[in-house]
Formats: sequence, C-alpha cells, structure tokens
Amino acid sequence: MGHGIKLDPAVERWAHLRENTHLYYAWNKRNTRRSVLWLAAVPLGLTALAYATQDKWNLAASQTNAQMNNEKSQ
Amino acid sequence: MILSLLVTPILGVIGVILSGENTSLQKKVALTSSLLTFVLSLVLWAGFDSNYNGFQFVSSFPTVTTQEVVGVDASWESIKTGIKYFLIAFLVLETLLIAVFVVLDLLLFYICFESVLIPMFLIIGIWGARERKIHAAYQFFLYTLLGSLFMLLAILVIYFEVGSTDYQVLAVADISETRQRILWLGFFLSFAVKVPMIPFHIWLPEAHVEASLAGSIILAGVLLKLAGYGFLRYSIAILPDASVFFTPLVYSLAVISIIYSSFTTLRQVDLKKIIAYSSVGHMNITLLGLFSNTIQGIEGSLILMLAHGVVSPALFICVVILYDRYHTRLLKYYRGLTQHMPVWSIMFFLFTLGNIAVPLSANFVGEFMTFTGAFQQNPVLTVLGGLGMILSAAYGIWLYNRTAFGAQSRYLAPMGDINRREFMTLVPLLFLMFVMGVFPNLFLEPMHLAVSNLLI
Repeated sequence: MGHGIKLDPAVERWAHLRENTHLYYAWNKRNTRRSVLWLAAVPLGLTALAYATQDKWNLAASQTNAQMNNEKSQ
Repeated sequence: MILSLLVTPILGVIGVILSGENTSLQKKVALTSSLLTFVLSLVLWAGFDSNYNGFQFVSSFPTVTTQEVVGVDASWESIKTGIKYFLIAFLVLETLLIAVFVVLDLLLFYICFESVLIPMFLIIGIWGARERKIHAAYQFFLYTLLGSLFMLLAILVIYFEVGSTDYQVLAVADISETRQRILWLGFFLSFAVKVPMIPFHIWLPEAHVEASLAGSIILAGVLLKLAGYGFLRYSIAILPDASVFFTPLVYSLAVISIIYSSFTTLRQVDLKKIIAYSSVGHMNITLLGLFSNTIQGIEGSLILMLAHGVVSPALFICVVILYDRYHTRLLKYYRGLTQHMPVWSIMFFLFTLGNIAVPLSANFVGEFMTFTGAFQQNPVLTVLGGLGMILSAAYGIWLYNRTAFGAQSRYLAPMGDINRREFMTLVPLLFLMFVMGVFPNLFLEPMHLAVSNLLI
C-alpha cells in the first residue's frame, strides 16, 4: 500500500474511460440531435427570450406610481 | 504608494536570486515579500477615501496579495524541484496581476493582461502535477491569446478613433453606437474566454487539474477575476451603449454557462475538476450582476468575485491536502474521511457551505445582491440563473457527503489529519469568508460612489 492507498485497477480503468470519453466518442443520429438541441437550439432560444423580455417590466413601478409593463406605458 | 505594490514582489525576485541554493531561505524571502505586498495593500485600502469621486489608489483590493501569500505558503512542501525559479515566476506573476488592476491605460492593461499568461504557462507546464500538464498549459495559453487578439484589434481601432488609450480620455470619448458594438464584441471574446463562459471554458478544468496547488490558487483566486474587471472597467465604462445592447446576449450565455457547468460538475469524478467546474458557474453569476445596471447587482458581483477568490482556493487547498497524502484525486477512493481526518472535514464543510452560498458566508451576500440586481434587469433569465444556486447546493453537498461520511474507505489507510501549516493556511481564508459574510459593508462602503458612477 504505497502513499496510504491501495489502488484498484478496475477503478483506474473506469477513471481513464471517464476522463478520456472524448477519444471514444462517435457521432450518430441520436447524439447529433441532442447536440443540436442543447448547443444550438436552447442557447438561441434563450437569447431570443432574453431580447424579448429585456426592459419589458418595471419592477419598481409601485414605488414610482408607474406602469409595471413598460410597453403599455409607452 | 501603488508603485510600492508593484516593486515589492520584484524586490522579492531579487532576494530569491540572491539567496543562492538555500531553498529554505528562498521560500522565506518569497513569503516575506508576498506578506509585505499584502500589508502594503491593506495600508492602501485603509487610506482609500470612499467619499472622493475620482481615481485614488486604483483597484487596491487586497485579494490579489492575499492569494499570493496563500499560494507561497500552500506550496511550501509540494514544490520539490526548481524552487527558486518557481518562486521567481510566482512573484513576477504577482507584479503583473497587480499591474492589471492598477493601470489606467488600455494598452498597458492589454500588455499586462497578456503578460500574465507567461508565468502562468510556466507554472502549469513545468510544475504541474501530471503527464498532461504541457497540453493544459498550451490550451490555457492559446485559448486566452486567441480571444485577446480580437481585443488588441479593438484597442487599435479605439486608438485610431480617439487618439489615445488613456482611460480618463476614453471614459468621456464619443464613439458611435455601431462602432461601439463592433469594439464591444472584440473585448467580449477576450473576456468571455477568461470568465470563462461556455463554449470557451474548456481550458479551465484542464488547467486546474494539471496545475500545482499554487497555480490553482492563483488561477481560481485572481486570474478569473481579470475578466470581470475588464468587463467593468472597459466594456461597460467605455462602451456603454453597446453594453446595453448586448446585455441580453451576455445574460443568455451566462445562464447557459451556469446551468450547463453545474450539471457537468455533478458528473465529475476528479475532485479538482469538480471545484474547477463550480468556478465556471460562480463566475458567470457575477456577469449577471455586472450587466444588471443596478448598484446592488454590480456591488454584489464584486463581492462575489472577492468571496469566490477566497473560497475556491480554500477548496483547492482541501483537495490537495488529500492528494498530498494519497496521490489520487479520484472520488471513488474517498469516503469516511471524518473518522480519521475530522479537522479536515470541518474545514472542507465550512468552505463547502461558503461555496454553496449559505447565509453568513461572503458568497451568500454576493449572490443575493447579484440576483437582486439581475432580477430588475431581466427577471425571466435571472430565475433560470437562480437554478445555479440550487445545483451548486446539490453538487456541493453531494461531494461532501461522498468524501466525508460513510464507512471508512477500504482503499485508504489513515495518514493523519491536516498539520499546523495546512491549518494556518486555511484559517485566514475562513476568517475572511466569515468577515465578508457578516460585515459586508466593510467592503461595500468604499465601492458605493465608484459603482454609482458606472450606471448607464
């Protein structure tokens, strides 16, 4: 038991696979669909949502007697 | 006075060179130099007039100098070869990091921003832990350099348009909105790599895992904050119209980064990678505050940067304490550590609580204020970003539960709890974390006037 640890070859092999998954990665229809969804569709959708909701509401409206919906008040 | 902050580490370099081959003396000289720089930064901070509306001692936050002291102390035993050159690289890095925060010229900022890469490349590539250290060093260097090339182009355009790179001239210069947007994108690419934002974040986990403890401390504690500082000082202050235009883009990328990095953290099996990925999430939370255009948001993000700069290095120290004993960072091997390392377990628990922003910790103050400000800017995306708080609690508590509790690991033999040096390295960070969490006004009050001037 060197350095106070008993290394397990099975754990080492498992860790090597987990750390080097990208070397064994292969594109197929399933992971291509998921990649397009999570790396393109979701970020673009979120950006569109961000631009759509930017400056839409005035949350301090009650303090200034203004309208909460900025679009209605314009 | 600021010059003394820059010169003291250089004097430390000269002292280390003159120490000859006496490694003990070299370490003491380096530590003394770092401590002196830290004390000087505290003197500057004490002399800061929070009622004066103008530049005094620019960016005298003592976190840079604190982490340099912690870095030298933490690597007291772990660096075995080329100690002299390691300490020289470290002290030069300290000077360059302080210079980044104090210079008032855009081109000088760029030079210092890039120069930081050189000692960091050496620290990772030579004194790194594993066989992939050179790959990690190159990845870190090239990622940042490539992003910064666009910033250099933007700086050249600014120079030809305004005629100067002096910050005080640029702050009042009139640049058209269209041109601001193009320049902003150039700056954004550079700072986005440094934050790091997804998809420019790949260098960070590699660099953290392969770097030595001191390298990880400086990387997490200071280097990541260069981006936040750059956004605040240059993108928002000099290019305000473009910052307003691109705020939704920053928000969406930051929220993506928070959520994706938090889920990635949950899947990691390497202790250092878990903390590295958690840094990605926390630094992107600071972006929500910086671009909120509210005093609470900006001050919250600054406090969160300070808090993260204290807690994240402390977590790295806790992990490396284990690595020094068992020479593995694989989570599978560790369980039941409370039974034979109770003091380590308490320390790791307290810093884990800090990392997940539990009240009384500095991170709580930062995150709460950040989300308060960000909610006023864009409530929908802020609610999504708030998921990051839930996920950080998930990975933080799960990590602690797996390592500290349960039956004693069948792979590990008791190797002794943390020693006095390791304990004394962690205690100042613990103290800072709680002081910032219980008395945040000590740090917030000097910022009020400067932050209110930043609002667009």
